[in-house]
Amino acid sequence: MNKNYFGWLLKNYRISALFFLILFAGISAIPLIPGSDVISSYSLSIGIMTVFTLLMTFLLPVLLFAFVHRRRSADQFFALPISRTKQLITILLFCFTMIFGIFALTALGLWLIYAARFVLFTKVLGAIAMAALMIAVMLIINTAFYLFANNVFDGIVMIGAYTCIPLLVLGVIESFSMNMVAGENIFAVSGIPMWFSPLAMCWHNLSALLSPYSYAEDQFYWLYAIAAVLWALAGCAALYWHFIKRKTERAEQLSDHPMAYPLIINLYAVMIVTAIAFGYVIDYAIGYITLYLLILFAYVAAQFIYRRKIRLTPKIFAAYALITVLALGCAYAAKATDGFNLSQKYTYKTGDLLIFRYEAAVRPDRIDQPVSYDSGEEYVTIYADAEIPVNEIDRDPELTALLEKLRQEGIRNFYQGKNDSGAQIYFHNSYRNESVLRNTYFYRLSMPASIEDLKMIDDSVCGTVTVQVYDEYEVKEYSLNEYMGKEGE
Amino acid sequence: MLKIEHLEKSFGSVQVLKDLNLEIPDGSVFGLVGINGAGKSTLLRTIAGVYEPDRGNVSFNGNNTFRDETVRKDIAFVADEAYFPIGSTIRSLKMLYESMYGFDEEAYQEYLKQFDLDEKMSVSNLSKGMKRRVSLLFALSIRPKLLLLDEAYDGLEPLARLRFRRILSSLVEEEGITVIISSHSLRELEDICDSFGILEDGKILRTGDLLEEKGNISKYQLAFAEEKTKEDFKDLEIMHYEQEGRVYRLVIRGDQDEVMETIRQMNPVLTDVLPVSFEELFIYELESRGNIHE
Repeated sequence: MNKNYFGWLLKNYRISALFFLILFAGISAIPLIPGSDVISSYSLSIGIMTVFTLLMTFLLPVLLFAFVHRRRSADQFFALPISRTKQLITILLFCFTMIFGIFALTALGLWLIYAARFVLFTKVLGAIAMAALMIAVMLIINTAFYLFANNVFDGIVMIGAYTCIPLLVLGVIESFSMNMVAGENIFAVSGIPMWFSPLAMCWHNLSALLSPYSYAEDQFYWLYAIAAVLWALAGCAALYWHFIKRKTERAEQLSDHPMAYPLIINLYAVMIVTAIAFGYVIDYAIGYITLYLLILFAYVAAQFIYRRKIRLTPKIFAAYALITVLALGCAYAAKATDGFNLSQKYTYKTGDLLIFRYEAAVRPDRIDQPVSYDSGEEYVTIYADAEIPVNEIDRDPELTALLEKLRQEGIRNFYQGKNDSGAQIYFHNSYRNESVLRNTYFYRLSMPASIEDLKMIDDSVCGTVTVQVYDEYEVKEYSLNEYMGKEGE
Repeated sequence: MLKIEHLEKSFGSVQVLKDLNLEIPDGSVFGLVGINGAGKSTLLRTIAGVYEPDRGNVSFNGNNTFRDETVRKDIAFVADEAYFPIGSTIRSLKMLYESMYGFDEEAYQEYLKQFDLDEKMSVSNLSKGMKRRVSLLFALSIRPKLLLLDEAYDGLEPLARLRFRRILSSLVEEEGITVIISSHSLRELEDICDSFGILEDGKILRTGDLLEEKGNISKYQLAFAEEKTKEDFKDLEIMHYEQEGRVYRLVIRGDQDEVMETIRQMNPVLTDVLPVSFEELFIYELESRGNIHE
């Protein structure tokens, strides 16, 4: 670090620092609003303060590294008698001091005035220490994204684009899971995009540590902290190449570095087109063609933003065509292999308890025959539930075989695209010490379960079958035997 | 001493500086001239440590100007387009120079007066010429040993230019600073520079003492009784040849006495010798190498 440079930054940005300090102090005054609940107001203040803190990790690099992107200012600042390494460290340290200083002061002030009675001081200290780490991580990563570009506008675009990548990853995973994997176990994979987002991981951990409440799902995760640090290390490597070894003459040029527009435009195209391809190979709807044309338009528009001129070259269309063909190829391969065989990955013996539910709307006189909800026909709803302790599954092999038979039928139905009968089955697994269900799978059946199957479930030790009958005034519930006795076998 | 050895710099596939070698002794005022795109600004930025050389070395008093940041304390670089943050005043800019360089407050106050500037002035509202004065004010206030002026001289009005020239002269005389000035106004450079370098296509085409070089090149207006061809002057180093009937206008490099002796042997009916200006020297130098069309 260079003390003189740091001193100049401090003097030069003292008014901005004061502004942010007043802003943070204003936020901390929210609990003073008469009549408001102190704990929820404290929680709200902390939440807003965390948002502002993270926002500042985006804003300050944009402001303080803008000189790199302008030829005139690059001339001035790179000619200063300071090495680039020291310059980088000094600016980052200044940003850190400004954000963390204000954050720590406000967090301590808030705790001291409003939350000392119900939040442990050690927890606040831990939160402040963790905030220091998270602010450093976010500053490094955002600065690296910003410096992939060669001008201020593109730098801001890069920060936005890289920050949003996890959303696209989530979109691809959801589309794959919903369209390609029979069972739609979204919950098993929905956490994956978190690992691509230092912002989400930092937000989660900061919120967890600063929250006056202690919900199970809001717990601090060390793995997120470690992953964020790994991201920061990657950011440091990027900063080495994009600041210390930066070619100053790149200022105000097109952002044509492989990590800038060339990667971002194609990565976005690949992910969006792939997410849509998974839907297309299942539905074959004409609407998808329109979507592909719209994305092509967006792809060309992105090239315009990148090159600042309209350039309709065959290469652009060829690249888009290649991306589309590869995405469709991947989607067809997924369909042909039952979602790369992921639909067969479910294991009953997970956790402590297997929870099964069958649900179907059927004809009142034939509970193994479907009705259409839209037809206006009368119907009754059948529920077959089973809760089997995982360590007792083997005691009832017939029931297990039946559940597996229904599940395989659901898988076949999914990939063969048979008509939906309205009958569906769910599998969950739960853990004794957790309130949330895990390992949730959901299958649609082409035909309701047979009466024999329902009887077998009903006769098993862990299973029950109920029939709900709706009339104008009420819902009546019968056991399987009661209903069959009432309606006649 | 500024020493440049085998310097190469490319922008993408375009090689701007090609195996450039140059030595400028302390206390020189060096005029760097060249046509647009010759690489003057790139060379100055590389000397200032803004650009990293692709190959070769730039050293000032034995220290690499890109790698050794301490030597940059002695280098002031005034770019062709100076940068001033929005809302900055001369006083706020001063903070940066005070923090980073050996700032001379006394000199600063003196130059403020000389350039008719006020510390409270908002730089964004100043004219181009006034902004140029601000840049020069700070460049001089840090007491540099090497001053790099990239067309910084061009935006000044005559009076400011005169004052600046006087300041430079005294700094060169009293403190022995080295100045490199790149400018398109060769007439102005002629008054201030003692040495020069012509940059062409990324290489130093010619370098030397300005007075010596000017003394070595002269314009000759000759008339002969009978018509001559260019071939008749083959013993002379002709840089420019112009013929109108039996009247010849030649620019010849070489000792004036020796050239005159050769011409006398050709029995001219009229001989007139004129000195060349720096601008003409530049033009004829490029012309003689076929780099510009007549």
